[in-house]
Order: sequence, then C-alpha cells, then structure tokens
Amino acid sequence: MNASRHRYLDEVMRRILAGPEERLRLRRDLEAHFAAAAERGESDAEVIARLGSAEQTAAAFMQDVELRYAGFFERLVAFLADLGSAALLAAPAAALCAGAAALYDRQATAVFLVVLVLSGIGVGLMLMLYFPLLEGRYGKTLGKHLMGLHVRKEDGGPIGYGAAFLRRLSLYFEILVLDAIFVPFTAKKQRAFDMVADTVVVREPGRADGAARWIYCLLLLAAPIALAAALAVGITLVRPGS
Amino acid sequence: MVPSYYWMKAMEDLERQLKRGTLEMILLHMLAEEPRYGYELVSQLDERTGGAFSMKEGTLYPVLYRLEDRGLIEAEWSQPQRGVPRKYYRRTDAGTRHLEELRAQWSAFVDSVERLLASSGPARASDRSD
Repeated sequence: MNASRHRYLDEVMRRILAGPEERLRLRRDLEAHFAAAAERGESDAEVIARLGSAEQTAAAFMQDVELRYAGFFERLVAFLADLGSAALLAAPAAALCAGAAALYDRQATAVFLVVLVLSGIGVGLMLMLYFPLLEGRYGKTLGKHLMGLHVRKEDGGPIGYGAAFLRRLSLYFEILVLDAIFVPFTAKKQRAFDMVADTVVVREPGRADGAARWIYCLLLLAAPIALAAALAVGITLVRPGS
Repeated sequence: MVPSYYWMKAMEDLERQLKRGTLEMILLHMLAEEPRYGYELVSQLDERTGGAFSMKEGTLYPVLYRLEDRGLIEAEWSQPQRGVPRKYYRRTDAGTRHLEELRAQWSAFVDSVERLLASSGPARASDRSD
C-alpha cells in the first residue's frame, strides 16, 4: 500500500517552489527514504510521523530557497494578457447578452429578459472570478503562466482561495492602479493588498527569459479586441441599412 | 513569575537553534566514517544520541543539499542486486577541511560558555562595603 506515501510526496511537491532538478532530487530522496524504511518493516504512517508533516518538510526545504520577486512591468504585461483572456472567456456570455438585448428591444418577452439578465451576470462573474479561482487553484493565471510568474505566500508556500480573493479586493474596489503603484517601492515588490494577503509574486525557478513571453501576452490582449472589431465590421456589412 | 508556556517555548527555540547549528557538523563527522544514505543517517543519529537528537527527519535532506551544493559532500545513487536503490553521501576533501574549522569553532564556543558558567561573576557595586 503506497497510497499515503504518494499523497505525502505530492503534498510536499505542491508546497515547494523549485526548479525541476531540485524538485526531482527531493522527491527521489524521500521516495528512497520510504523504501529503505519499508525494507525494515516500517509502515508509511510510522515514516510520516518521523518525517514530520508535508508542510514541515516543505517549509524546511523552502528555507534555503531564495524567492525572486517579479517586477512591475512583467506583472503589468501578465495583467494585460489576463484582461484579454478573461474577455475571451466572457465573450460567449457577452454575445448572448447582446443578442438577448437586441431581441428584447423588438419583442419584449420574459425569455429574452431572463437570458439578458443571466448572461449579464455571467459576464460579470467571469470577470470577477477569473483571477481568484485560477490563482487559488493553480497559483497563477494564464497571463502569469505565460510570463513565468507565480503567486506564493511570503514564506514560499502555496496560496489558497482565501488569499487569492483577498489580494484581488483592490480590483473589486477599483483601486488596483493605486495599489499597483506600491510594487516598485516595496521590499518584496508587493501591492498593498499583497501585504494584506501575505502574498508575493515570484519568478518561476529555471524560467528562461525571452521576448516571446511579452509577444504572446500582447497577442492575447489583442485577440478579444480583434474579435470585437471583426464582429462590428461583420454586422455593419450584413446590415448596412440599420 | 514567567508563565511556564513561554519558558517551554523559549527552551524549544533554544534547542532547535542548537540542533540546526550543530547538525551540519555532526553530519560531516558521520560521513567521514563511511558513505551513508539518508535513512541510515537519521537512524544512526537517533541511536547514537539515545534519542536526544530527535528531529523531524524531513529536515535532514535540505541540510544535506546545503552541504552538497557547497561541495562539502557528494552523492551517488547505487542500485543493489536486490533491494531498493539508495543514494550514498560521502565527504569530500573540502568537507574534511570544513569540519576541522567547525570543530575548532565549536570547542572555542563550548570552552568560553563553560568558563563563563564556572566563574562566580563580577562583584556587584552594592557588595562593596568601602
């Protein structure tokens, strides 16, 4: 029975931030540790009791890891890419919303009104939840992934949904611009709401630097704009009289 | 009167600091005898100190990595005929030299603390009658 062993190893791996070689080194050493103990007839539970919790093992490892804090501009580019990607995700609901609005204008039926309201709420929720859900689950958004960035707790551990929502409050209260001004001036390059949520944005270890990242991000920002422009042109061409 | 909780916590902190500071030295010493693997190191540590040096074993590997990354020890995987693969750590020449330095520092530290504890302390001004 290796189930608890694998759960333990996965949890340690989830909690550490390191390059692929360092991750593999720790994982293989811990696997060998379990195997050596099993040879002496020790159960996984006994081994885990002596190893310490996955959190403790990961924290001991992270003590020696130097976090590289991401700067203002790379975070800005990631954010622009996220605006693009959130807009693309919200596009179907937005199209539904626009369609329902147009039809409701002509024949005011309850069905169109319900679709209009629900799809409108859908657009809003998509834009609100995009950041905290992705950061809470994966520690990064698509834009951050493209830029090789990761949101972590100040001690290097993974963040949860709570911290992900908390650091996003400045967006909800529309003071994100003010909040972002803190980044170049704070020791760990944090927004004010990063400090509140005990989070930092760091560069992924072993990340290759390159201009390609910026280009992908700006293309992602341009995609929904191009889509909207194409639709507008298309509608104008199809219905020249309206 | 200091609440016992704070006293216990202070003692735990002291113990942890002492362990952390001396662990590198102890590991370098143990690896002089023969190459050892991680599980063996912690078992030996536990046996030879009669359990006094108990630690969360998951903290061992980061210490080994620190030593390895500084070139004080080196690691090699071995696949025995039967049984599980093991990573053996051995001490390098640089590790031997580093251990000598650590031992000298340790001895000097212990000596000075013992001298301090053995002395009766300076006479206080209020003790002087003249």
